[in-house]
Amino acid sequence: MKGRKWIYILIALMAGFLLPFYVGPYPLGIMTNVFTYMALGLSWDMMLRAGQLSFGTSGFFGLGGYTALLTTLYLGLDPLLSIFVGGIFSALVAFVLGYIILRLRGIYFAITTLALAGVFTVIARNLHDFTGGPEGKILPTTIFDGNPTYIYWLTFSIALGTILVSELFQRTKIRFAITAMRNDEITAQSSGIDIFKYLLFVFVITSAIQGIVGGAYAQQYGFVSPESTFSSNFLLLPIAMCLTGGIYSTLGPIIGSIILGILSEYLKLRFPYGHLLIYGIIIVVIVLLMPRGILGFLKSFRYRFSKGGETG
Amino acid sequence: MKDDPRKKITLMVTLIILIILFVLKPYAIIYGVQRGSLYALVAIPLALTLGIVGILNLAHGDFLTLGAYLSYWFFTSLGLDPTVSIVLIVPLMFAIGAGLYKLTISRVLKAPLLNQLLLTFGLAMIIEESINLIFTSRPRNIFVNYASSSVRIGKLQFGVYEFTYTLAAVGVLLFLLYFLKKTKLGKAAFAVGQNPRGARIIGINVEMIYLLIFSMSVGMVGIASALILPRMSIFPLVGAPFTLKSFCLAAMAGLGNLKGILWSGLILGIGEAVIQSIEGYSGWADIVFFGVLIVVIITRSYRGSYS
Amino acid sequence: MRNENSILEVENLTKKFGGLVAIDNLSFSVQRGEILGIIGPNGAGKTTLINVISGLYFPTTGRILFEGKDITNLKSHQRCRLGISRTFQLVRPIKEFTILENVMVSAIFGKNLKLTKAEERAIEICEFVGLKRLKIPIDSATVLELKKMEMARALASDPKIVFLDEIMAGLSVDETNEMIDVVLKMNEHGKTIVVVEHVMSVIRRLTHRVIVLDRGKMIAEGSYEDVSHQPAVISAYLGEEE
Repeated sequence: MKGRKWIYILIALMAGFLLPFYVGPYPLGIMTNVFTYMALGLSWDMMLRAGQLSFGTSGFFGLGGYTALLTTLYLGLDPLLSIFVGGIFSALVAFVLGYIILRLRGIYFAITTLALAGVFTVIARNLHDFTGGPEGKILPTTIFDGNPTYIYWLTFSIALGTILVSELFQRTKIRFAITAMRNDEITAQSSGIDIFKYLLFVFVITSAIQGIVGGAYAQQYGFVSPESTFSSNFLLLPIAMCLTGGIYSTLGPIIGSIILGILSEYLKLRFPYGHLLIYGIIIVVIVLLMPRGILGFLKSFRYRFSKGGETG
Repeated sequence: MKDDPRKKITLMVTLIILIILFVLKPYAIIYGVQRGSLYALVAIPLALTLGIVGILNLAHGDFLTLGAYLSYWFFTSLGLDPTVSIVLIVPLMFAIGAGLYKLTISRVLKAPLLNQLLLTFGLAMIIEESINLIFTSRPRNIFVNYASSSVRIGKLQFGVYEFTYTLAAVGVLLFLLYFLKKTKLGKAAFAVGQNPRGARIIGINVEMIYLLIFSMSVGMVGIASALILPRMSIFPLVGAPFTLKSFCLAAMAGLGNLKGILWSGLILGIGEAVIQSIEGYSGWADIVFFGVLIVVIITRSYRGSYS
Repeated sequence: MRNENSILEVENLTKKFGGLVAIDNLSFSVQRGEILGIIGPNGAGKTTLINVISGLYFPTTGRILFEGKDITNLKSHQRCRLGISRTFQLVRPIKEFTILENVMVSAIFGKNLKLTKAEERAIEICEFVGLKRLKIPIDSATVLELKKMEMARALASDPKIVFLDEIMAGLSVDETNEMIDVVLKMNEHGKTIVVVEHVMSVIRRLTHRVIVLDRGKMIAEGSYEDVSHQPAVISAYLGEEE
């Protein structure tokens, strides 16, 4: 059983790695997007696992994007390196901010993070000389000179790295800390868990991931602007994907991002203006009807089925 | 009672700052009061839902947008004056609120906070994108004569229409205070806000109160919707920032303090207007609320009052 | 003074909620190795006292000393790691976890153990309190199992002093007897124990010494037999209950 699981993982890895040799640039571009959203979704879910709902995904994504692009533009930093600098800067901002807002949690945290993308947009728009104001900034060249295969491998690796971090969250003592905190903070702290420390840790890690993803995205297009870089797409889609696949797991966001990522391409072609509406509807319907997503639904189905089998 | 001297000092300092500001930047004060009244008008219903139903409605500002587009539609298709249309908008919004409550909100009342927030976030997206789909993102505005009337006092000339926000905010506040303190229904609602389980035990129909308060809040937002239409361009995202600012005011005032929201609104409005009046920095006005929110969070957590 | 033998000292402790005084200038100490009972009518401030000592609330005024060290300003998790542990009246288990994993949490963080060591320790503790079904999901646990799990959780951090907040509530006579045996066994293994309990027969059988609280003040102290005959205690109970 365990051996078979590893074989599946190996096949998935090989398929992911070899994909560029078998498909054209258009499907490859779609999969690049899927992995971008997968990493964002997983990072959002990791914060959720600690019991805090963050709406800051698009904010830290954009922050990483701006940092990566501007460091390449002004300091001549290597694009690949600049992506990590983007992650570090996002992590730094998350640390300072988290240090303040994670003391009051729940709705305070949710609403402060909801404001983040807007706040960063205002800052990016007003620091004209530095950020290019409303028009943004363009790089003369894009990363890997726009080679779609390399770009795909880059996002694929970032997604893989995120999956690895997510699995660390599920397999080490972090899992015990964050699950206990999410369940009940009072019992958790009486069991010796430093809630503030863990929340800050998770917030910084997940923001770093979002910054890295944003950095890669900005380098991929060689362009940042307040409206496009802090777009609510990078918040709405990951949330819808995680909810669809199933929250509080690694597999859920992976499934959700593949399904919705591919579906969204189709929707974009069919409904160029209204496709975002569908994500809103998905979020509402899933929260109301199956809050644990496809994965949770399958699990409860299997559970009920096996139970029914035993008694019958 | 012990807080009295501190309150007095705060009041004095605020008053002095206001006088200085009025001498230096008279327009900032006037526009700030107008803008702050609007913030308070929109924030009071949010605080009402938060205090009594216990739900933070992230679609709150989008109800403002929805009402404004309704009012716009009444104006363009029926020729109905926006101020007059309030009598239609408010009951209509009340009904929309009731419908949404029954369909969605009532199902997550016992769910974890995360589900409630995600649900209202999803609703916000649905409202924004539906409006975007129907009306496109092109800004819309209408013209009515009376909205551009102005007065001149000494050297100062300013629009007076926006003072309707102040009137409406004070009106709504007085109505709510009367409702919650003097009417049987309002007292019941107040009791539910204080202690839902206790209220249920003494025979109050808690579900009915929740439905009523949520619908009332959405209905009251309709007043602001109709009032802003003559003076503001509306677009699908026009209301979204009001959700954040409304929460900021509710946090400033403290839960259950409706009167405080009016004062908080004025402080935020004047703060924004002052920043906006500084040449070269006007664009920063939009993040004043964030700074205020952070300060509120720091003081709250310092006092150690957990939610 | 008798400092050497006391493990916990509470000095002039006051806790106010707004205008309400929940604990009113309370001083007492807990001796190393004893089982101390805290009783009093509803609203006497018993659970508030545990909350203040375990660090969920900070006192309005007063000091708390643990093994001679001032812990008044320490947070809950720090006090847990020092060796102060407690159970909750209302058990809130982690529903995604098994009984064993629930107990592991406090072994990992309260005693700072690695996962495998924590599991070993949790299994030991579960055996100690008499839990047999360790791998079952929380849904299928009985009330007794949940109460024992809560005890095991409190013990897994290897505390020096344990506060038990109404652990017998909702249990049958047989189950109560079983729990009493567990508490006595804990005490034999060197744990100092403070019991808050409504059931007087439990207090009588368990405790070496009793403190009676009424409206946040201590109105009597002594053995259960001494205390239960004092007029002040009787009138406090008659005034509030029954």
